[in-house]
Amino acid sequence: MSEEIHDPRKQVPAYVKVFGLLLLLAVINVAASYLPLGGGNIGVGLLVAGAQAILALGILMHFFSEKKTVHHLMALAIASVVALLVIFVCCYADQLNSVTPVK
Amino acid sequence: MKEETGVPQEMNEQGVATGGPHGGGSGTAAHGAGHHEHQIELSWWRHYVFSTDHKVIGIQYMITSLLVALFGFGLMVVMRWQLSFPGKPVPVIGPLLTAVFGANLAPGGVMTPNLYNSFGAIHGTMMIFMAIVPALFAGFGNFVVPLQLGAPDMAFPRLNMASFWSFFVGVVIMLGSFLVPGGAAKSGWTSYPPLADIADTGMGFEPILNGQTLWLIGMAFNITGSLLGSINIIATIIQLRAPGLQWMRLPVFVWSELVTAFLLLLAFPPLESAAIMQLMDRLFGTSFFSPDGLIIGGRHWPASGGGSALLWQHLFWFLGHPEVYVQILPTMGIVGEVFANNTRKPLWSYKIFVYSLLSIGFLSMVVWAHHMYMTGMGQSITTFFQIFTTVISMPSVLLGTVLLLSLWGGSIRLPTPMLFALAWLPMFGIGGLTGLPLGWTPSDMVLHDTYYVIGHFHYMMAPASIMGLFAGLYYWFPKATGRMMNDFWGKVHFWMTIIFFNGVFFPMLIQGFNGVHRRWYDGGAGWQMAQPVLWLNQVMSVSAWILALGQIPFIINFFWSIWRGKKVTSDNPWQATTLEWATPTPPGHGNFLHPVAVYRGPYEYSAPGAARDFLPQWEQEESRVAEPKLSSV
Amino acid sequence: MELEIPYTVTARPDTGSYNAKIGIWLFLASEVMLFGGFFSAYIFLRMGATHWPHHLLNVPMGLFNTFVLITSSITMVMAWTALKMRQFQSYRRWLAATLVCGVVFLGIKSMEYKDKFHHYGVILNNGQEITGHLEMTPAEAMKSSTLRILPDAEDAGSFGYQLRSIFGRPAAGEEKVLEIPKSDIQWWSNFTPRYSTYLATYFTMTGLHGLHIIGGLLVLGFFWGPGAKLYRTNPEHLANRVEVAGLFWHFVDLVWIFLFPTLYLL
Repeated sequence: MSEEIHDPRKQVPAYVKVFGLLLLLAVINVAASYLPLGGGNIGVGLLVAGAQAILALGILMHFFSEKKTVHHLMALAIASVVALLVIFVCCYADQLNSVTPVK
Repeated sequence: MKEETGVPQEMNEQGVATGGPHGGGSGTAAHGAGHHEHQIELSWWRHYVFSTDHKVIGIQYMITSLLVALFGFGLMVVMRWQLSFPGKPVPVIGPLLTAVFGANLAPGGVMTPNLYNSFGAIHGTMMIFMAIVPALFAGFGNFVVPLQLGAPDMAFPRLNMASFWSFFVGVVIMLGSFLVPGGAAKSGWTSYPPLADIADTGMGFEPILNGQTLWLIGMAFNITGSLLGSINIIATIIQLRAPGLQWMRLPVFVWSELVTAFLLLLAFPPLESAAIMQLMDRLFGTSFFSPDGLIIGGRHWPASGGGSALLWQHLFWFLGHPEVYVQILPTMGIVGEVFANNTRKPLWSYKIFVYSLLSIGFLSMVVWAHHMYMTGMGQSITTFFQIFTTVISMPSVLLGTVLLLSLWGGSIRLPTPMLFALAWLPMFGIGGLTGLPLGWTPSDMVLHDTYYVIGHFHYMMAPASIMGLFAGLYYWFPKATGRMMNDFWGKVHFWMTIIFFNGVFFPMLIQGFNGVHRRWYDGGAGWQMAQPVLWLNQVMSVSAWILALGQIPFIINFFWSIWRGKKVTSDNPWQATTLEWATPTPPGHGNFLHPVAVYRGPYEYSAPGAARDFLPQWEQEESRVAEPKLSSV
Repeated sequence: MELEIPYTVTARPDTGSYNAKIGIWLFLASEVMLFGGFFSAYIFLRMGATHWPHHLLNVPMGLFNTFVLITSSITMVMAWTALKMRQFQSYRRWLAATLVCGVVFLGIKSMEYKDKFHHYGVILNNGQEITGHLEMTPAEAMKSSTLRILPDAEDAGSFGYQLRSIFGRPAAGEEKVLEIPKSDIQWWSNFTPRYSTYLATYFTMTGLHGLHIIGGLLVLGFFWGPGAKLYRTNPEHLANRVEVAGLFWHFVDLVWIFLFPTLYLL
């Protein structure tokens, strides 16, 4: 395991950088929500949150340095949750009563 | 122990398997002593009730869920009376119904619609979530999987205990909900809102102690237990495989448990979230699932904002469909084990079997809305779900084919477990094939919500799952108890079960074609149009009652065999190849007397040139002893 | 002979993890799906809603809470690093900091909840919605035939206004206390979960998240107090346990990272 071979202290500068970035991104996210982007606000908000999530997951949770078993498990979970969300959106978007009736 | 007995390491490793009188004998003595010390440490409560031993927990799961199954079956037996003889007092137990459920729900022993609905809802919920799944997934999973992996226990023994007790509390809450004012939940096992949002509220109902709310709370406990259990099973399979037990050497039952555990792990939480939201709806007046503008009892229902009843259906079936596979996949594994063992030849294609299991696992997550064709889904999304529903039948057929072809050219033995496993095939076939018309919208429009649907899914969940359950019970019973179950009474049980199961469920398919609606309790308009097939109601009911009688041989056989059955003369009475048969009988705490290693695939039966017709996974060199002796008891 | 369960402390070579780490990742996978269920419900309800409020919640407070949780994540990982370096005192200090952050988060969250319970909305018979604060006690409001309500300021959704409102109600601007006869009112209530689908989502999701925080605090508190005794016998085992608890804590933080924009900002 990598963290046993490496000195755990060497990670500390990375943690500090992640700390700063996470705070910065939170501020950016708040600022962006006041911009009049219309529907684009949602995209920006989720994009920034996604970046924060990757930082926290990858560095703080040591996901990047885990072996492939953990990667496979999380890939499965993320694939499932994406399928859940995407299919839900599709199900909402495609309903019989939302179609204009043919005359 | 090596130091104590002075048996060389090689002897030790072979001790269990070869049963050399010296190695085996001394192993027994040392183990017995160790076991004895252990019993002194643990009180009776810690040993049999709050145990962390995976075998005890597996047996607890099995016994609890068999009792629940008996109870759920009893509910159905009473319901069948109402369907055959609507409005007549239930014989024999009628007074009991009145005594337990009160004159409101069962006046003079007659089932009222509310009682019928309660029985239906709890029959479904208990059979699916608290009987079949715990028995197959958790019961066998706990008992067999660590043994087949060569592991001393599950990865997290205390978590294991927690999951059983969480499940148990769920069962108690669900049973207890019959006793609160107004009776148990009445909204079906699917708990569809808006009905489920408003049921059991208002006059005469307690705010929390009412049927539907308790259903939700009971399910939350049950779901938590299932989640913890599935985490444990997966972690055990990933982490605790014995040396040499590579992925493609795993017994098929372990594979099926792995896929099942992943389905539970990923599909159950959305239902838990839905249950929390329905609880919010019921307790805090939110409207996640009730749309605005409902008029209930002539009064505008004070729901705030617009919720969506369809949201519940989506979240429910996101679990509900994988749940079907959760029930059937472990039986596939069991049948695979029993087939290989009793045909004395390897499975026809282990690889196809495993990959089919995996593809069923993946596909079952994207087919759920085929339960919802009638809810006004658009064409594109309907097409999507039709395609995947059809696609998922392919790995299912492949699995059936693998099992069928495994019989080809085998020298088939027919002990009771093999009979049940053989009967599993046609039951699975009927269940699967009757599902196809429901997977396509044009035919589903006609058959939706008729008895055809009931017949179809019961063929999967009752005959098929329960054939697998009994196959597993008869097959692993000697490992758990050290005694065989009686074969003659087992066969009586088998024929009673298979004949009358079909007597119950096949007529449902016919009635369904004639448009008999699945939920009507005393006939209704549908019965007027279905006069020619109504006599089948009596056939089904009588079959159900005889089916109940047919379980008596099993119950007696089960308990009689625990104490009085024929003792096994070997640790491996079926002459099987997988690791669970390398343990002493019954296995003590820690399972194996010595660390085991695995040298070959799981089903090396009838290998050319071998002295015996089976090569156990744990034997490095082929043993010259025809039958290994018993290493303990 | 009792066979021990292998890989409770050391990693299994081919998977690279000890048992508990696989276990917690599996648990997190199920948690992903649990919150996934809520987020999918959020999407479904929001797409179907005719009206979805913006910046109704106090953004500065939410942002501060985000800072608190991010900080707690860093202190958590520092606690684990200290333990790996076998610096026990340092470990306990970092873990204490994490606990304090968690408690601060819950404190601020409960203030936000309290604010919401003192915030009222009135829906008039013509469908118009007026939100604001009662100028009478709730008990009086129940009995009286008119509601005296001070409507929210025009800029109540702005960052500056919300920031000022944390330190006491900002000076009134244009708005005047309204007296609304109850006969004109279709429905009125404070901001409880049943007020609207949006608030139902907000309370349910943040409530569940809060329960996760409480659970995490209990576990971390255990490893700060009685659980830390393991250090004397098996420091590596304690480090593993703290790592696993930390993974859960980071995950709870991660959920908040998504909850904050979806509920506060968008």
